[in-house]
Amino acid sequence: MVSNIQKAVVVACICILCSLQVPLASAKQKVSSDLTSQLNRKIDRYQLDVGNFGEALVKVASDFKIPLGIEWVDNSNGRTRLKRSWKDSTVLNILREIVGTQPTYKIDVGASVVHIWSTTLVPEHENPLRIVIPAYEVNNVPLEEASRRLHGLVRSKLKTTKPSLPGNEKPGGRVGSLLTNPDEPKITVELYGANVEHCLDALTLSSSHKIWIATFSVDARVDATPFRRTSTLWNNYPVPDDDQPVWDFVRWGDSLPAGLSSAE
Amino acid sequence: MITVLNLSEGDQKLLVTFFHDNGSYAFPVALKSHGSTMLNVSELIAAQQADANGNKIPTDAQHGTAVLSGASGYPEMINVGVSVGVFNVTTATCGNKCPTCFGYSAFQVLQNNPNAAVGGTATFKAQAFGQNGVWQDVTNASNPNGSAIVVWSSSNSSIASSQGDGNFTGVKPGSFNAQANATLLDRNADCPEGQNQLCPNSPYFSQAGGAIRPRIDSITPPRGAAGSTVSVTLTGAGLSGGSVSAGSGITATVNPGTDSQLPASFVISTSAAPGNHSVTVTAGGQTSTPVTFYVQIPTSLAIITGTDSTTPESSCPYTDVHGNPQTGCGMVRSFMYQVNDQEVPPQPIQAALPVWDVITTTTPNNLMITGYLTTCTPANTGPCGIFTSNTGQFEEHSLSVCSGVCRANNVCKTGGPTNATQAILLGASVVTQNDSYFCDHVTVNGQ
Repeated sequence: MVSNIQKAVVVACICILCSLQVPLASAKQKVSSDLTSQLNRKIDRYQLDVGNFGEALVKVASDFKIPLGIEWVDNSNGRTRLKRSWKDSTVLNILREIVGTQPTYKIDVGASVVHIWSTTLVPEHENPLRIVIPAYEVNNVPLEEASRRLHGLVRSKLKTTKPSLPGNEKPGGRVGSLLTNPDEPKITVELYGANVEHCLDALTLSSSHKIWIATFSVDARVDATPFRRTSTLWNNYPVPDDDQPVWDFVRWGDSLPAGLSSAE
Repeated sequence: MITVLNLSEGDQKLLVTFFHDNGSYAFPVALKSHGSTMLNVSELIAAQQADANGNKIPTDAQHGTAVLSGASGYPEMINVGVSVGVFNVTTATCGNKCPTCFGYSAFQVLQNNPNAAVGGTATFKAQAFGQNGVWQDVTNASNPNGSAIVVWSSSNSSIASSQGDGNFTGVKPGSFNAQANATLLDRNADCPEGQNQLCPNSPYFSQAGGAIRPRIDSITPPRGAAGSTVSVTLTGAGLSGGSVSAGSGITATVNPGTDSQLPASFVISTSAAPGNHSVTVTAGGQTSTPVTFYVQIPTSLAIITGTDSTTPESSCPYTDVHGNPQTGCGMVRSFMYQVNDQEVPPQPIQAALPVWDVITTTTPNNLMITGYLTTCTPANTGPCGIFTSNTGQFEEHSLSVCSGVCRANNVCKTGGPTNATQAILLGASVVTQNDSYFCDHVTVNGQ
């Protein structure tokens, strides 16, 4: 029941998105034709010898310049070594065969970004990427700032009631820092009623990081929510509930996050 | 009969050495300035007087040669006039077709500077064993009247080409033999009588090994940071197909290149020794002379002039100690950092390094800071896929503070400082900054 309601909300939001977001729609249109031609590209020979499912997807996306969103569960199946070769194939077929090695995963060639996910491993109602963000606006900021603001919006949807501040307690504050690469383009995104997944798509389309990855735990939940816990592939620090969910961005051809790399 | 005239203004001591089939006989001659003497070989034989070495000319000697030299032997400048009257002691006559009757009995090619870079010159020398018992330099010999002809050649002209006189120009990396064919007057040659007869001579051959090595003129960039991968280009000659060595801690992978430019990827270990590393190229079994590649360690940060700005925030969010959202006042400072290395003066790091930071408040903490929002999530962890530019620059997009202390009755006010240590992690290195936060500004190391 909850799932159906959420699906209805998502559909509605996407309709709103389509009607209101002319800049995004036009961007999708352009990338879409690029994406189609890239996916249908004939590949004479291709070989893959990687340590896990995620690494395989990132490598293919990097090799053939495919914008990609991956929602995967970091379990033993996903960590199986993958060694395959193709002859007279297409990029899309290569991706499909890689996805086919993992039970229940699906591939969806969206308007602008290819999605890999499994509703069996991460049911929709447990997936924090399905949270709808009423308004997401960033203007001329680096990807890291845009991602931080999206994270803040998601966090605001997951906040739980805490003991109120006693009247005589000092209010406190926070200091912060955000280090970024100056070579990265500054991006502008405006989305209304889109879910987190589509926000991530918009960020990958606007930035130089063309791959986003959400890594879900096998079964752990964020405290007091139905949502599956997530982790980062860049380091091994556990992500506390107050910082859930997290996602990673990867550029085509960049060194892989430690959590994906099978290299020593 | 031999007549010797001293042509110089000073006295000269000379030595006339007679060579015969069974040995030699040395006869010292002392001449005053412009003085002269005549030597009658028949009388010398008849006298049977031993020389300084106890040698005599046998009474049955039929032929031989005489060599006039300085008293100390070869080589020495003498200034004399000689009238040759006797070579054949029996007939007291001698043919005039063989003006130099100094022969040789052996020949050898020796290495001089046998190794050179491509485009450079390897050198060798040739020696012939003279009848005086001394190896004579015949490297440049080409005159039959000088009693020796030496012709140089290369065993592999695609490696090194002969320029004559023992000089070989490097063409490409590899090894070769410097070869020389010599035609040398025979030892104790009996000068022929009559017209158009050649001096008696013999052919000789000798060779010596040489090598042509690749040449590196430069490496670009000449620096790279520990813990990074740097694409370098080696420029020089004879580099095609070569392998690259950059010393301990640097793994070099060669990419396809040309003879004059060799691209390579240097994976610099975090444990690579800081400072100079020797880089060589080995091709054709030969190794170049090294050039220097400097391994950098991120050591300091500099704020790039003209990139600094501070924006006040009259309404900013923060989370109180209970995790509840609050509104405070504060500011955001943005600027660009340049990562510099350990050199004096510091040089920009030439690498894209993973970068993240850890902020820890110290004392005083007048802004009552309890929360942190650093580059990676969760705060004070990393890395998270953020890198410096290839020239070691990165942006501090928002060095910020937001505090309830800075806000009273919905109005922002001044306050501070809260001091903090900001550790900026760059690959395997850490550079520590001292930050002081105020409601309306923040300083970094006092700036």
